[in-house]
Amino acid sequence: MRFKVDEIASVITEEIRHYRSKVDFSEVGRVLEVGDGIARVYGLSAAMAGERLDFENGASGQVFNLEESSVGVVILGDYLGVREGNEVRRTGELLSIACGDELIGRVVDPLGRPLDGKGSIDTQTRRPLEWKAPGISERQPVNQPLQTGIKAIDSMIPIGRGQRELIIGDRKTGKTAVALDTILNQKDGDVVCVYVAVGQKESTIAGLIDRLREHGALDYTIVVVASAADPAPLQYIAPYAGAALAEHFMYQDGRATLVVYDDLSKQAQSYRQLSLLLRRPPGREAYPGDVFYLHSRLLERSVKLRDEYAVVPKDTPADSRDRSLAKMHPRGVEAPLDVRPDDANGLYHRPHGRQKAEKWLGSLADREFWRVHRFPDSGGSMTALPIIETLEGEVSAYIPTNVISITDGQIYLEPDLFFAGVRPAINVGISVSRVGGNAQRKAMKKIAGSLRLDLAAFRDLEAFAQLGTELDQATQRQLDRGQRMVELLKQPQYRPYPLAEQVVSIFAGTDGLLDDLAVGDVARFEEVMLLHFRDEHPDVLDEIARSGELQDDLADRIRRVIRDFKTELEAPARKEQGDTDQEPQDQPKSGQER
Amino acid sequence: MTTVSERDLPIARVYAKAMLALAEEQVQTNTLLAELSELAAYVEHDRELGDFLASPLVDAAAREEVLEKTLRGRASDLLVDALEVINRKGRLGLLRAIAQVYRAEYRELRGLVDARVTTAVPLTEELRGRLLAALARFTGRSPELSERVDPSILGGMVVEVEGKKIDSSLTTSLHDLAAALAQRGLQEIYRGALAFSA
Repeated sequence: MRFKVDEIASVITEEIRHYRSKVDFSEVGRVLEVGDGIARVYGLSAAMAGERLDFENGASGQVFNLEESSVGVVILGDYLGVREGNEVRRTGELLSIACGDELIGRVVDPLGRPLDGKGSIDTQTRRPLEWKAPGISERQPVNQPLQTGIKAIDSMIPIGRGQRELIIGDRKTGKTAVALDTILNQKDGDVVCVYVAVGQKESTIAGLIDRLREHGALDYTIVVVASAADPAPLQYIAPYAGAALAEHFMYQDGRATLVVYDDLSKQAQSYRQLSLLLRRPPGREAYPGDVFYLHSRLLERSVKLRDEYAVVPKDTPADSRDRSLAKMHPRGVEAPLDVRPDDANGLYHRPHGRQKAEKWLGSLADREFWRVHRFPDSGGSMTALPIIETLEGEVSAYIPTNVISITDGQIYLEPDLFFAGVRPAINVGISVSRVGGNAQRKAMKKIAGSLRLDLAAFRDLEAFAQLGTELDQATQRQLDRGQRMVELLKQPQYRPYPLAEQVVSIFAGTDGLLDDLAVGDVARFEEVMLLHFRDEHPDVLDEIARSGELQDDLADRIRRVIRDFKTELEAPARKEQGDTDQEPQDQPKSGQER
Repeated sequence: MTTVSERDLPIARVYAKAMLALAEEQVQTNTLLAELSELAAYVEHDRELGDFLASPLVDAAAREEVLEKTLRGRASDLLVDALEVINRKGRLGLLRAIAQVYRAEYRELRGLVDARVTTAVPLTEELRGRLLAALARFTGRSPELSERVDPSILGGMVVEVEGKKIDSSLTTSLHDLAAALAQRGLQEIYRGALAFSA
């Protein structure tokens, strides 16, 4: 191969001819002292709090403290290369991250630099890391479910889009597993997922990314990594970067997003490190005074945005985002009070906005020239699953109480349950979802309505029954049912259940169809039962998935199918084994006979 | 030079301003500035003297006696009196901060501003005059040049004034040009437009 030197030379000559050298004008300061990722910089009297600065060695920094003749700067990146006397330049910009579709399937650091070796990321848009949470009028109540695919959660602690549900528990109790399964369950759905790893081991993160890739979840997921090896400032900004990435899809495209912050206790620790090094006064557990705001401003960014409708000219394209069209109809704001737009711009955005808009349209004389339009960039959501690690189950420590009070509920995972084989190890007694109930599908609500309280009651009863007292029949029945429900709600990792299968499964349990099975057989039976439904009665599953409801006749049908299936299953089993094996299993609990 | 703690500045400012006002009355601002700078440099150099001035273990009266003996007659009365007042308040530990603030306040009062100029060859008298005029226009104050010759910038000059850096050096221009060419080359490679013949 030979390339033309002349040609290249001429291109370069042309380039230089048109190159206009500008005088380089910048505002600079000098590093007074540097250490532990913190620098004090003399000068920069015009620098803003939170502004990005550039150091001589290429590292960026963020202004944290503004003092009389110097500024305190945290260094995002290689602080070992920053020396006393180095020049520091103002950029006049806040920290921001590249965002867009190009990011999907990528692994990036909190400043958007790729870490997966798949080449540079070229995007048109950037978003600031810190963004003010939407106000009251831009939101609507949580009303759409976010299916986690985990039976115990979707039935008892349902999560809605736009909700913030805390996952809390000791180390090694399956916190990440719950979040990961939730991401896997969004496959083939419309949800964009962002997983933010803060302060974790690189090996753990690498394994997790492999899991995501194996299950095809990287097609709709972005991973933001600030590992334990990264400096504290990067760990501190990582969750905000994750939120900014999700916000892009939510605000620009009106899409549903899910962000997992794994975990916020590590982020709080890195923020504590920064604050102490900057000599901010320590408070409880040596955390700075604004550690509550650290998490509240992050989690407040989770939102279910309002849906916006308007009556627009008929020829408006379906993907139009032009809000001024809403004011086109001359009589918009004068519409009768019960169908009047919700604001002066002619938009309908409160509940039943579409119905109101349609009603008004129906009453118009010139209605054939108009139509009701839904703005496609409205109605997005950002669901947050923050994770907090507790020490020895201590939920009354500072950071756990803070985050519990900020979130809309928590999933509490317990080591005792975990090691007893109940996985996911959810303690249903103290796990709650404060708003998800409104978002739960009707079918699930119907069958699982009292499941959480029943199971909690079962746990108490179980402890009591350990004492070996004589139990009346009703109590015994409750115990039997509880044991079978616990079995039923166990679920292996990476096996999210679709809604319809969850409904059938839990219906079988709460309806007492499993009561005559041995406890040890429940899981196996459930598996073959669902297989039977998938193979022989897919219409039942389809009907539930489609309508999200469980009408009485459908329930009757499920009941019948399961009964038939049971007899079908038992007939050959009886013949083969005789009754010898069955004997001990039929007895409810040998311990209680004494 | 070790830096003065940010926390000391507000207190130091009170003393420095008072001293400046008195010096202005007695037309001694320059003398005081020189004396204070010298003293501050000496304190920084000699740790024991610094400890003696700052330590609360030393009796204030004893310290005053020492100040009286060593400085009276050798330095201006204004400085010695001021030091004794500061001593009585137990603030002599802030001497360096006071000197620093005094200098800043003095320059503020006189409208002086520091300007650092780096050139490849020494400035000519004519160029210096034009630069001073330009800087005076730019800052609205009277600039004091500190000149540095650095052949590695090849040509042009770099001026730093009031936290702003105006860089018209040849090295920087060449670096920028190199970066622009590299950027342009990358673009070309991406487009596959660069002509290679097989």
